[in-house]
Amino acid sequence: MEEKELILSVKDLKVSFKTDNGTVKAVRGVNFDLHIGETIAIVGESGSGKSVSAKAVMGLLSNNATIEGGTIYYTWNDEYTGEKKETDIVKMSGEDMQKIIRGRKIAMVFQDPMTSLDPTMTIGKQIMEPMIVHYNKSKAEAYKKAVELLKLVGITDGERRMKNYPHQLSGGMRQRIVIAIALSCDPYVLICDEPTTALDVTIQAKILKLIQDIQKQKELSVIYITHDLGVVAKVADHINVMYAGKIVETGTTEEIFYDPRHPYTWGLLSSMPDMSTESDTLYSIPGTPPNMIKEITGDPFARRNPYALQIDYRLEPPMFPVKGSDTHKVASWLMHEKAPKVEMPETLKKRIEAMKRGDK
Amino acid sequence: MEDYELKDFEFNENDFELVGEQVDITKDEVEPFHPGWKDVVKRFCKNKGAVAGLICILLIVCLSIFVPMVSSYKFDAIDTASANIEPNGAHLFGTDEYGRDLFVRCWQGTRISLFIAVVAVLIDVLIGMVYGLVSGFFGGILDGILQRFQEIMNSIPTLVILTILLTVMKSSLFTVIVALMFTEWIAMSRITRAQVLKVKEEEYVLASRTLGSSSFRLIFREIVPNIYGQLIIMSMMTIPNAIFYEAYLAFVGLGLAVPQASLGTLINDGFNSILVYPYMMIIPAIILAILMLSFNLCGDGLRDALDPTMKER
Amino acid sequence: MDKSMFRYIGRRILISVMTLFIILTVLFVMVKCLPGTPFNDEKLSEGQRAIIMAKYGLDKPVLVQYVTYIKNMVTGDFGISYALYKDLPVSMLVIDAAKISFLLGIAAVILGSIIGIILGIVAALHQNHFWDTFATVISVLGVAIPSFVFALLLVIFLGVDLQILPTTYSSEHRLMTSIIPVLALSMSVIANVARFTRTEMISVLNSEYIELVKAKGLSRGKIIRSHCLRNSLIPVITILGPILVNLMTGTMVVEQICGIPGLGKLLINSIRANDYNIILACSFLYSLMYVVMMLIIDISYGIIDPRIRLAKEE
Repeated sequence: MEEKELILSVKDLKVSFKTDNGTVKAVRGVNFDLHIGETIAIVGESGSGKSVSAKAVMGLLSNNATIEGGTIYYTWNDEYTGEKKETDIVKMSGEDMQKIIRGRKIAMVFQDPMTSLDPTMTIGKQIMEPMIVHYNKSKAEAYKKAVELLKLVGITDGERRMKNYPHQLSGGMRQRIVIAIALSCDPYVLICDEPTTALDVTIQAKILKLIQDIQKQKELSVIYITHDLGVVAKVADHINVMYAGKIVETGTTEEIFYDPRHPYTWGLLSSMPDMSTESDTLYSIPGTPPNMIKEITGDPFARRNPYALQIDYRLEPPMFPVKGSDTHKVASWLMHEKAPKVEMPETLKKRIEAMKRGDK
Repeated sequence: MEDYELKDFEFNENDFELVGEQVDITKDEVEPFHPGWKDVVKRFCKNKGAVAGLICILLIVCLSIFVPMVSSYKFDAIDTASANIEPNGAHLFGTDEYGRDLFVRCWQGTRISLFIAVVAVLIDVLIGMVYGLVSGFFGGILDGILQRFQEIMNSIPTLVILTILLTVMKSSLFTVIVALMFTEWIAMSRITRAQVLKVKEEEYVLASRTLGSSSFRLIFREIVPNIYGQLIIMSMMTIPNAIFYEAYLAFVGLGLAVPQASLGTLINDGFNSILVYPYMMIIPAIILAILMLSFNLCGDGLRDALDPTMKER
Repeated sequence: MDKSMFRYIGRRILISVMTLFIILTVLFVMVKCLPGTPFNDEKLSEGQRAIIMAKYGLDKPVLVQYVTYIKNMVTGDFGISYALYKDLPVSMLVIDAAKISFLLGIAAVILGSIIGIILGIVAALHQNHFWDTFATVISVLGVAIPSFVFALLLVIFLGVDLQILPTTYSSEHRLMTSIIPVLALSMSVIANVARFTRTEMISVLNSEYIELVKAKGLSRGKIIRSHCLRNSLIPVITILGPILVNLMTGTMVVEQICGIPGLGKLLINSIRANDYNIILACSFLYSLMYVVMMLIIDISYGIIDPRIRLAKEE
């Protein structure tokens, strides 16, 4: 993975929102890298700041949000000279963002396909629109490409569907359309914000497979934003677990699933519904995420953590590298050499064993 | 990635002890509980327009109650010697063509207008609620008939109903109230019916019905608390309508009989001499406008305060 | 346009016609209950009055009168005026008056809608800035203050104090004399339309599909032009119904103030004179306009917005 070229690099990103009740620090220093052709996932509960981070990358933050600090470097090859360029998206003007990056280089798939299409415009027009705007394509060219895109996303009677309005299609179909729109300008990075949450389980798998297939064909780099570890298990190369505006554990998919270190990740894994284990009750992490309006001292997870240390209430842990891995890092004081040895819960251990067996 | 610099941290001795049982992690941190009405009051007070409206309403109500009681003039005392006097120190709003003091007459008129509006709206609420309850509760054919009737009533313009009713009956305070009664109950009945249908579907109502308890009583208990907010808002919005229709009726010459005064009759009387003595008409018109504006602002504020999700809708 | 749409329109028209029929019947009965007759002249003896009643067919049973009336009405004959305009056909009187009222109303709706939509859009695009506050103040004032108060203020200010506009209507200077009533009537239209447009526009701007359009990389201007406007203006059609009804009320009083010989004035005069046929015709025309307007709005809304069409069928 190391040899692959970096395409997107987020460093120490901080975003806050002004609300009536005070300033909400939604993202408090997030780091992650995305390489060409790679799939990464950002996993966390709602309100953990994962969607906000994605929107910051797209330059789509709402008016009351400010980027307090950090950089988002996007690396690209110039279309004409082929020269390699690196830009900080944070510093780009809104207009440049819209003309150069958004839709063209980085595209996004939204959570709810029922509400994310313009209800009064035909699907065809909605797919053609970005091509006409960004590449000055003629209507005929755009139409041809739109039909091709529909085929790509698995809609065979494209010509007929082009004239349809969104309400005439099912949820799964609409999500395919949303993906077709995202792909219309041949982007390099695709951000999928909970792309399957609003869909039926049977369709979820199909959509995930579709994104994976297209990714292979087009050499896309994909970022999945989700609260569901199960969704990303099969598709992601690299997972970032996010909690209260920070990444608490990062590693390859194998590392996160088979060797989780952070108690929060343990919680997430334990709360995954699973057919294979015969556990009688479904685990859920106690408590609720902290109120982000308040200043957080120490580890924000401490109050919900059965393995909390004294220091967790005082100091926020740094990222500790896991021995024997370049990629696996954990933000927990439990990783400190002086910390008591804490093992993951017994049930989870059994679960992981089962998963490993299942994989082999 | 962040650098792994443990030098930057200072450690205490007990830092690496497990907190364990000291903190009950199963308990959520909960925001202190505020009673609902306090929130409503707080939200209402934040809305400057609504508060200003409320103050205006209170002020106007006080004036309309006390001025006719305290003043040395009587609202129907004719004094031809001092007719058509422009507003001055003795007659704050001037006098009309019969020399009646307009300050007293205006507030007396406001009193009557307010009285008519409030009574009409109360009756509207009552009729609307009963109609909606019956229609929603019994359902079936009865509901169908009641709904058709309501639809038809709703497609006769209010004005036509008002004018015709008033020509059938003699113009009096009672007539105006009856006429107003006929028009605004429809919206109230719709709200009530929708709520009845919703509550009827609730599991616990079904459950208690199977247990043989009187579901009518249950529904009544469930419905009134659920719609009282909406009804208050509707009433606040209907009062200015009622005031306006009263004024309208008076203005087209179908209002109260002389020497009684309402804002509408005052405006109508003033209109006859508008080119010569514009104050006779402008003052009651402005009071009317302020009153309607205040009720609207107040109603808006109440709606936002009672149901923040209904805001702007 | 598919079959179900036609069925929907058909059903709506049927209901409307039935409603109108019932309204007519109710009106007929109510008018028959009116105290007094059109022939209240003291000088008339009982015998003379009976002769006149017989002449107009008013001595027959009410049911016969009703059937005759309906029969004639279908052919466009609303009878003749008994008192107000001796023996002139009511249909002519009513149509002449309605033309004037209708033109005034339409002018006010068009003027008010245009200004209201612009105001609403500008306010939504500049939330919490000057234009937004301005639009809010205008809409609160316009909704709360009745149109006749505006008419009065305009008459006094523009007509009496500044003397730049005539205060009473005259058919020779139609344009100039219509300015004050049209302005006064359009205030409530502006207010309602602006308020509604602003709310719709804001909810569209915050919708998820606009987020997706933004993610496509379209410019703000393009987003507003090709996505926001259509989506937020379609629902404005729904409030045109209530607005037009409001306007009817408004016209009756404003006509009185500005001395416009419109439908409202005719109705009021005929009520005062107990002129049955005119009262019936005017009231019926008001109801007809109301029902037809509702019908048109319902149908056009169904055609324009596919979402509503589907929801209605369910």
